Amino acid sequence: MTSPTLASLKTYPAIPIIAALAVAFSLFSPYFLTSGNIEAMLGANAVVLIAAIGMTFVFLTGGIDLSISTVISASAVISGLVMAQTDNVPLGIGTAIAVGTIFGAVNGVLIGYFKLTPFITTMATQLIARGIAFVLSQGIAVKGTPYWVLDFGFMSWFGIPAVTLVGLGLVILSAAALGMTTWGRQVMLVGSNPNAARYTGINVRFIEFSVYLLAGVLAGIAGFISIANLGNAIPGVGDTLLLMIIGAVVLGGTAMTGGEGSVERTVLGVLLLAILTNGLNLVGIPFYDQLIIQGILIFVGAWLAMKFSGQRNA
Amino acid sequence: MPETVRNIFARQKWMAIAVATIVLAGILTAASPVFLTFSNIQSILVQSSVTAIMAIGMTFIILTAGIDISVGAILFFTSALFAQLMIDTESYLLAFTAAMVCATGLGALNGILVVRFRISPLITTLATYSIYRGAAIHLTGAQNIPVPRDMGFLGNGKLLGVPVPIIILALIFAIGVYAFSRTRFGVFTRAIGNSARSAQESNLPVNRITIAVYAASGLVTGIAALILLARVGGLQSGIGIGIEFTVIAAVILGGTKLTGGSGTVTGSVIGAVFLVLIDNGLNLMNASPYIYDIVRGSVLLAAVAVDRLSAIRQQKSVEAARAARIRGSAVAG
Amino acid sequence: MLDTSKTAPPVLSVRNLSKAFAGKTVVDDVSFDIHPGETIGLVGENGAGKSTTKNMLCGLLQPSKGEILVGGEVVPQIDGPEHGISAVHQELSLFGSLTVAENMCITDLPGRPARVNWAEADRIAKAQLEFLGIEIDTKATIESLGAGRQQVVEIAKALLHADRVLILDEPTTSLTAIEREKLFAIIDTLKARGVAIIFISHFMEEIYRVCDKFIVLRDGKQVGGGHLADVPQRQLEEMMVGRTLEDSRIDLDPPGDAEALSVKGLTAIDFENVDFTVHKGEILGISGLMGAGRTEIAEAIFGLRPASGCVQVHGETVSPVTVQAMKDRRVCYVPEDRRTNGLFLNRPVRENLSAASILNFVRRSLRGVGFRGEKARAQEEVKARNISVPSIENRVSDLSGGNQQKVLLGRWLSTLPDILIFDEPTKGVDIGAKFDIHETIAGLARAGKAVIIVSSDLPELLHTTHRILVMRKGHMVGEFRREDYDSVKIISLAASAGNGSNRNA
Repeated sequence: MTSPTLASLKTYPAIPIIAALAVAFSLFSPYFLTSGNIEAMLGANAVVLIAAIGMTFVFLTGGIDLSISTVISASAVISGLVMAQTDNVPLGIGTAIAVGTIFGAVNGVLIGYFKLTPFITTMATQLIARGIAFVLSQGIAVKGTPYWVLDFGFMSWFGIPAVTLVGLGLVILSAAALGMTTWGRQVMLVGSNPNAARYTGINVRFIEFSVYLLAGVLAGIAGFISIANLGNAIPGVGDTLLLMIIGAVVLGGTAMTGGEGSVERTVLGVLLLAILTNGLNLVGIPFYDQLIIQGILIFVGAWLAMKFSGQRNA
Repeated sequence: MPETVRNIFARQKWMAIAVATIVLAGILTAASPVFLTFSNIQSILVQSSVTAIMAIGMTFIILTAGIDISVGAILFFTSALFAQLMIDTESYLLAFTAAMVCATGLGALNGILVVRFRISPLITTLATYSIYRGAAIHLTGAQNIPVPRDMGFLGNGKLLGVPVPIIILALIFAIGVYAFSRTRFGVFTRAIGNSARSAQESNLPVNRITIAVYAASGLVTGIAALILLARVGGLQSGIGIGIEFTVIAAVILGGTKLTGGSGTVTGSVIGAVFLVLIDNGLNLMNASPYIYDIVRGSVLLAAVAVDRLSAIRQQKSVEAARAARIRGSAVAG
Repeated sequence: MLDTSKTAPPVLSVRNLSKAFAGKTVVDDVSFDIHPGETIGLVGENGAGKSTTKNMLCGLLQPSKGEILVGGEVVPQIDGPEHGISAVHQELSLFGSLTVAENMCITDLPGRPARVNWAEADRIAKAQLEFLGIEIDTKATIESLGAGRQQVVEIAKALLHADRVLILDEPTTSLTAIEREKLFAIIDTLKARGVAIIFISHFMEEIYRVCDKFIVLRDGKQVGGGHLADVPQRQLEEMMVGRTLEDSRIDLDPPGDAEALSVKGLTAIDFENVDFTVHKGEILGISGLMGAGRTEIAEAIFGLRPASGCVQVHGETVSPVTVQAMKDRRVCYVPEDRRTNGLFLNRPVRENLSAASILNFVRRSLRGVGFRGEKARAQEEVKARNISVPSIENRVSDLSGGNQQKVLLGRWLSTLPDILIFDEPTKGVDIGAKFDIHETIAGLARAGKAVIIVSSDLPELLHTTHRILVMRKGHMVGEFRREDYDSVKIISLAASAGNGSNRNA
C-alpha cells in the first residue's frame, strides 16, 4: 500500500481541489477570505448540504432520488402555509419533516418493496411534489413567515450561521449512523452487493426503503431551512438544486454504483461547490459560465471517482 | 382466430397507450362537444409536436438502454444559436445550418462521452446539461431574443391546410418508423439495448450505434427547437426547462422500457399526444395549471407500476414452465 | 445421402491440442478427426477441459500448442464463418426482445443497410427451420419461446453461418423430454445431410443415442476415444472418472446418532419431494449434474427460496423458513458463486468477515451502535483461516480465489454454527487452499457439527463425506454410504435414466 497521505487523498479526492480553489480565489479577490463572505457562503449552502446527505445514502445503495429537490419545495410551502396560519414554529418544523417523511416513505415502498426503478419512480414523485408545491402556493412565495424563523436565518455563532450549524449537526448524526451502526454497515453492504447481502441475512428491502425515507426526511428539514434562508417559502426553490445536490455528492467521491462513499466526502463536495460558486461570483464570472464549469467538474469528478474505485461504470 | 387477435395485441407494444389515449379522448369528448372537432384535433397535434419530435429521438436512446437528460439544454442552445445568428446575420440559411449542425454535434458529443469514458449516461448527460445550458445563456448574454416575424410560419402557418408543425412531425415520424423497422440501425439499436453481451458476441458496431442514437436525438431536438422558437416568437429564458422529463415520460408511457431493447417510435408519439390530452382535460376542468405536474407524475407512476405487475406475471409463467419440466421428468425417469 | 464412411477426408482435425492459462495446463494433448456426417461425443466431468477444448475449436481461444486442420489444411486461427464451424454454447447468444427472424439474420442482414429486406430474412429463417424440421413462428419474439425452441433458433442461426461442423455444448440442460427428442431428430437430420457434430454432454444415454464416436477427457488429458458401439456404458464411465478413490481420503470420525437437520417432502420450482437427514458429526454430500436442483435445495433449506415441505432442526420444525430463523438455529450456508452471492468485493476483508454475525465481532454498550473489537476479532479470524492478506482493510477484490473463499468460510464460521451447508466449497481454488478447507470441514465434523456439502467435484465428495446423495433433474435418485462408494455408479446415477437404457450393459 502507498503512503498514508496518498491513501487519504484517494478517499477524499476533493481536498486538494478545495485547497487550490481557496488559494486561487483569495488571490483573485480581496473579499473572499472575509468573515462576512465566508458566513454568507456557508449559510447559502446549508440547504444543499442537508439534502446532499440524503442523496448520499441513496447513492450508497446504488439508487438515485430525483425528487429530493422538489420535496424541499413542497415541504417548504406546506410548512410555510401552516406557520402563516398558526404562527407556530415547532408545528412548522414538524410539518416540514412530516411532508418529507411521506414522500420518502412513498419512494421507499415503491423502490424497496415493489422494486420499481429508482430513476422513473423518483422522476414521477418529483413531478408530484413540484405540483403540490405550486398548487398550494399558487405559484408565489408564501407570505407570513414567523419572525422567529426570519431571525433564525440571520443568527450565527462564531461566524457560522445557525442554519449551517443545523446542517453540520445533521452531518454528524448521519455520519455516525453510517459509520457506527449496524444499519449503516448494512447500507454499505447492500450497495456493494445486494445479492450477497441477502445471503447474509440482511433485509435488503428494508434497507432500501430506509434510505429513501431518510432522504425524504432530510429534504423536509432542508425545506424548512430554506424558509429561514430566503425569508419565505418559495415553491420553485428546489428546481435548480438537483444539479448542485447530485454534483456535490459525485464530486465528493460517492459513486452512484453503491457501496463506496461517505457523508464526510459529501461535505467536502458541498464545500467544493460552495467555494467554487462563491469564488466565481466574487471574481465576476456570470452564473451561466459557472454552469459550464460545474458541468465539466461533475464529469471529471465522476470519472476520477470511477478510476479510483476500480469500478467498471460510475 | 382469437389467438391471432391476441397476438396482434401483444405484438404491438403501443397498444396500451393507444387504448389509453382513445379512452381519454372519449372522456374528453363526452365532457366537451368541441373536443372532437377537426380544428381541436389539429391544435392538439400542434401542441404535442415539439415533445413528440424529441420523443422520437429519445426512443432510440432509451432503446439502447441509455438516457439523455440534456435534451432540454440542447433545445435551448440550438434556439439561442439560431436566434442570435438571425440577429447578427439575418441569414436563414446560415442560422438554420449552424443550428442543425450544432444540435447534432451536441448530441454526438454526449454519445462520444458515454462511449469513451464509460460513465453512466445519467451522470454524463447531467454534466452536459449543465455545460450546454451555461454555454447557451453565455451565447445570448442571458437576454431574450425575438426572432423575425416571418418565422412564425414555421410555428403557426399552414401548408395545404395542414399546420406546419404537424407536417414536420409526420415527416420525422415517418423517418423514425422507417429507421426503426427497415434499417440495420433500427435492429442493432434494439439488440444492443436488449443484451450488451450478445451484441458484443455477435460483433455488432455497439459504439457507432450508441453515438449515432445520441446524435440523431440531438438533430431532431434541433428541429423541435426551431418549431418552438417559431411558436413562441423568440428566445425566452425559461425555454425548455423540465422538457427532458416530459419527453422521457412520453417514451415510457408509450411502452418503451427504460432497461432497453423493447419499445416503439409510434408509442412514444402517442405518449406525447396522451400527455397533451391530459393537459387539455385539466384545462377543461379549469384546473390550476400547477395540477398538471401532479397528474403527470401520477400517471407515470401508474404506468410503471402496471408494467412491473406484468413483468411479475411473466416471471411466474416462466417459473411454472420450469416446474412442469421437473414434474414431467419424474415420469420420464 | 452423403457418404459418411471414413474414406471421405476429415472436415476438422486436431493434433496435440493444448491450452494453458498462467502456467496451469487446462487441456493437454488432444487429437482427433471428425468426418462429415459423424457425431463425436466429448465426455468428461466438470473441469475436465471440455469447455476449453470447445472454445479452441470454434475460434474463441487460441491454442497454446498443437494445430488445427480444416479440410486437411492447417489453419493458424479458426474463423467460424470462414471455416464453416459454429457453436451453440450453454449461455445462448440471442436477443430476447427481437423476433426469431431478426435474431437469425442479425449478423448478415439481407438487403442494404438502409433497406433491410425483411421478407427475405423471413424466408431465410423459415427455410432454415424447415431444414431442421421444426415449426416456429419467425415473427415471435425469442423471449416468448420456451427454452427448447430458443435453442433450436440458436442452432438454426449457427448453421446459417457455418454448416460443416456444429458444436453443441450441454444442449439438453434446460429441455423437457419432448424437446430433447426433437433436438435428437434435428441432429439426425443434420447427420444425414453431412454436418459433422461435436456433442458435449454429461448424460450417458444421450451420448449413446446421438453419437457414433466418443472422446473422454479427464483432468485435461484425452484418456479414451473410439466407437461407442465397441464400448459399454460402464467402461465409458470408468474412463471419465478414473480410479482415484484410494488416495488422499481424509480421516473421518463416525457420525453421531442425534438428528441435526431433517428435510421431508421438500418441493419447489426446481425440485420435488426431497427427503433426507443429517446427523451430528456427519458430513453429507449432495452430488448431481448442473440443473439437478442441488443448489436450489440448499437455498430452500436456508430460507432463500420459497418451498413447501418440512424442515426440522434438532427435531424442531422451522416455520416459516427464513434466513434469520435458520441463523438463529445456528445453521449457515456458504453459497456457490462467491463473486455474485458471497463477497462484497469493494469492501474490506474485515467487513466481509463480520457481515453475517456482527454481534459476534463487537462489544457494544448501546444496541446497534459501535464496532469496537471488530478489528481484533477479524484479525483472529484471518489467522485461524490462514488467509494471506497484507491488511484486513484491503478490499476483498485484491485477494486470490483461494483466499477469497477462505474469507467467505471465515464469515460463516464466525456465526458459530452447528449445522453448515457448503455449496462448491473449493471451486476455483488452488490445491493448497483446497486442502485447508477440507481439513477445516473434517475438523468441524469431529467437533460434532453436521455438514452438508453440495458439489460437482465428485472426488471431493468421495474424500470428505460419510454419505452421498445423488440428485438428477430435481429428484433424489440414490444414496451411497462411505463403505460402498463407487464413483462410476454415482456418475451413472446422476447422468442416466436408469439401467434400462444402457447399451452393452
